[in-house]
Amino acid sequence: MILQVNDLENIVQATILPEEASLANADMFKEEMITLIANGARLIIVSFENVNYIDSSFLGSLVVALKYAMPRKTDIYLVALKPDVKNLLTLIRMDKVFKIFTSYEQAMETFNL
Amino acid sequence: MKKYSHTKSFIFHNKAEGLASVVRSCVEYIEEQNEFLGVPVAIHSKIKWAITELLINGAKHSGSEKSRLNLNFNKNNLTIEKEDSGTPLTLKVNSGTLKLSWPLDENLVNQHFEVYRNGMDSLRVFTENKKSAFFIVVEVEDEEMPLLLVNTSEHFGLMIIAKASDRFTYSYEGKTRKNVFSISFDYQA
Repeated sequence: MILQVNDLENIVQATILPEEASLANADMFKEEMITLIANGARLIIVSFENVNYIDSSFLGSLVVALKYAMPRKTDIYLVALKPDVKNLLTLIRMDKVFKIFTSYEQAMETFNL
Repeated sequence: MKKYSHTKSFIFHNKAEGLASVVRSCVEYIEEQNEFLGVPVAIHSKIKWAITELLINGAKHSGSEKSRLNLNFNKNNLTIEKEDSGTPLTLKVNSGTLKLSWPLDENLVNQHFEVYRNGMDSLRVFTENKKSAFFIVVEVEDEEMPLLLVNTSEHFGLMIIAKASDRFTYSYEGKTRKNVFSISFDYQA
């Protein structure tokens, strides 16, 4: 299990537990995200609060999850990214396809608008 | 006092489970010795990204038992080389219409090919000669539908290295069957 999940009426807060989001756990993350989407989540807020480091394998799993979510009308938001993690997402333009917020609360405010 | 022109080598066994420890060893070496190495702290993250992506590439594609990682520290730059004697590089380019395999045929030399495009950046490889090539990133016009969601993501790693570094090259030496990926960071860039 890589995600700690809190599901409230299909709005899911999913906190990545490891400090390193990498090749070692990218497949597990992808599978857990796809399960959440398949189970009917309307919004998944992925918290990176524990993540100090991310690599291309994990970023690839994030994109696969988003591609699976879009036709199923599930939104994926990313929150609590540390500077190094956010800088890498920005470097390869992933900030253009994911909604990124500083906190869970800020993400929820946007979703409720 | 800084110590210039210094090389530190690490062995990577091209397996995912050993990747984190090699990356950690490289990063710790730079951090612990940086009084002498003089690597700007501002690029430490980029160096870690580049080493990680080189090793991921090795774990996925090298086809050899091990790779040697050489960190060449100089006064004004750091060059990171990954050497192995495994499978030469192959790349599907130009939207999958062409496959480049090293050593290249003569008719593919001295040209640009597009490896990957995400909607805002185009990762291209320029074939300098039959044995070597370098990667560059060219900004393209923002496309309405983010191609990041259309194209496969297998080239994220190459894109990360090309964007984070100042030079990113590949060469294949047929006689020794040695593949060398080389990444440079200029300190005054």
